[in-house]
Amino acid sequence: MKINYQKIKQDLQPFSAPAYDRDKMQETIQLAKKCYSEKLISERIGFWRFIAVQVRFIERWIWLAQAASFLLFLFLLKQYHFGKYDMQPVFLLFSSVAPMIAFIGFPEVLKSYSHNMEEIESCTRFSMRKLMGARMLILGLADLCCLTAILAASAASNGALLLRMILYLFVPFNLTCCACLTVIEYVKNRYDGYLCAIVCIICIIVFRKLSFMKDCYEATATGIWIIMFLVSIGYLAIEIVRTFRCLNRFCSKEKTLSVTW
Amino acid sequence: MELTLNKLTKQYRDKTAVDSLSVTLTPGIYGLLGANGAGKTTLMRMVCGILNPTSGNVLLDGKDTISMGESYRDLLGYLPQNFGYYPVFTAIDYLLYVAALKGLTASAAKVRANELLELVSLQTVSRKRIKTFSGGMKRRLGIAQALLNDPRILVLDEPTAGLDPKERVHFRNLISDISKDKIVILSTHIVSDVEYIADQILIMKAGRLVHQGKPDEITASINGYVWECKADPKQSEQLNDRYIVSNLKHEGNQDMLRIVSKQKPYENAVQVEPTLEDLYLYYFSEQFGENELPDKNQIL
Repeated sequence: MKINYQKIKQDLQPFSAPAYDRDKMQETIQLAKKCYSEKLISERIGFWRFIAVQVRFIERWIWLAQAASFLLFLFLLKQYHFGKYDMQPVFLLFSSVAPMIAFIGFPEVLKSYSHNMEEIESCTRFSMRKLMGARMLILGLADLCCLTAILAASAASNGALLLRMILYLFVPFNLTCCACLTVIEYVKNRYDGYLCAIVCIICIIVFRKLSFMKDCYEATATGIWIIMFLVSIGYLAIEIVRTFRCLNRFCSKEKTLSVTW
Repeated sequence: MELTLNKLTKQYRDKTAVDSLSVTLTPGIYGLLGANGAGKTTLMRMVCGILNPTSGNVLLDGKDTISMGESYRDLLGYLPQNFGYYPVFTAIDYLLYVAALKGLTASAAKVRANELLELVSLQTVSRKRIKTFSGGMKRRLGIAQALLNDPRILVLDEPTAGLDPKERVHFRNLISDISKDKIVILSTHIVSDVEYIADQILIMKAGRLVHQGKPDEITASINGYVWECKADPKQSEQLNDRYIVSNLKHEGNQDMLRIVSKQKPYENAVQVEPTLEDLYLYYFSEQFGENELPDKNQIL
């Protein structure tokens, strides 16, 4: 049946719209807005969504620094002609870059304290512990991806040394992370980010010095590296748990929140 | 809704910051007055769960807030006295960041952030970095972040520090508008911030609650203690040394003084209606000890 809109319009023309109170209309609109707003802010996100949102708030220079580290490594790897007999420069490279990758992330993890944000962040739905956990998870995964990419690039050049490359990369990285987490756990103040940076620089120097000692990087020393790898993994797991616990308890020890933890 | 502070104590090695403080708060605005070092900030931090009390507890409708954890923090909005920010953040970024911490969805965060930026008159600078803001603008942004989750319990520590008189009036009106069905605890040195909007005044001294009541009730407690008199500059100086002078105005070759004293301080002094500021000075004047006022022999 064809609807004749024109006729309908003509039929309705004689009728006028009923009068209405404009103020009431405005009031209705305001109440509707208020109801919508209340419904909207009553919903809450879950923890995994919270972690995903935190990625957005990690500073851009972190991602750029990680990308730059990786590209620099590739460039230097090419310079050193990986696969030649003298592997010394390559081991030096591995031992230096791994602590540097750890170095990039720690100040970002601790920025709540260095920027005096911990009071506000401590009394939100997602506690300080969850926030720090989210940051450590995101940056830890990013570091892992970076290290894996470096390994993949190295393996593409010389796959025979893959096991040793894993050890030479991850042992310095693990030990640097352990040292930084120990600092966070025991030295509680606003400048922990800087202390972690100093620890990372010390680790870079130590492993650079170590890389000049050829005996340390012989195939015969692989057993020692494996032991160090396992010990560092275990210690890292323990330090992560202890650091989390310390994040929740720090308030009870301090004199004033803004000065010490 | 009832927030009970039950014998809250915070003890440090060499100082008791809060000493067995007990008070029950129901929806309304509470002005927390006290001098520096009275324990206001420590008390507020314990209410917000940032500091663990040495003893005592904070109960919300009978439940311990520490055991409530996330569900209690979900009801909170807190503006600290010295709050930080990430310099690279813009105003909108900052609010979206705090909204995420408060668990708001992305759409709710955007709507709420824009609403609040308009409310605190920062919508024109929402895309500017916080490090370019003046002190007053930062403080307004801090107020906005405290309101993001429409908190049932709002704790504001010196919220009007750095705000000009117009902004302070705007802030007072804002708090009055939003305080329905909320517990608002407002600590300040600026007596006029709470004088007109607070339902109850809590006066803290040396970690203890020394007085609590409606503004007109507690100012009535010093009825008969507030005087106005005229004196020449030399006598004015002597009176200033001996008494609590809440106001001194030079009028030609005479000074008009407003004095808080139990006894008549000067022969031509007349009693006047006390204000909350007079009460504040009465409690916190360093000239005298625990609420002590000069002896009657000191009338000139």
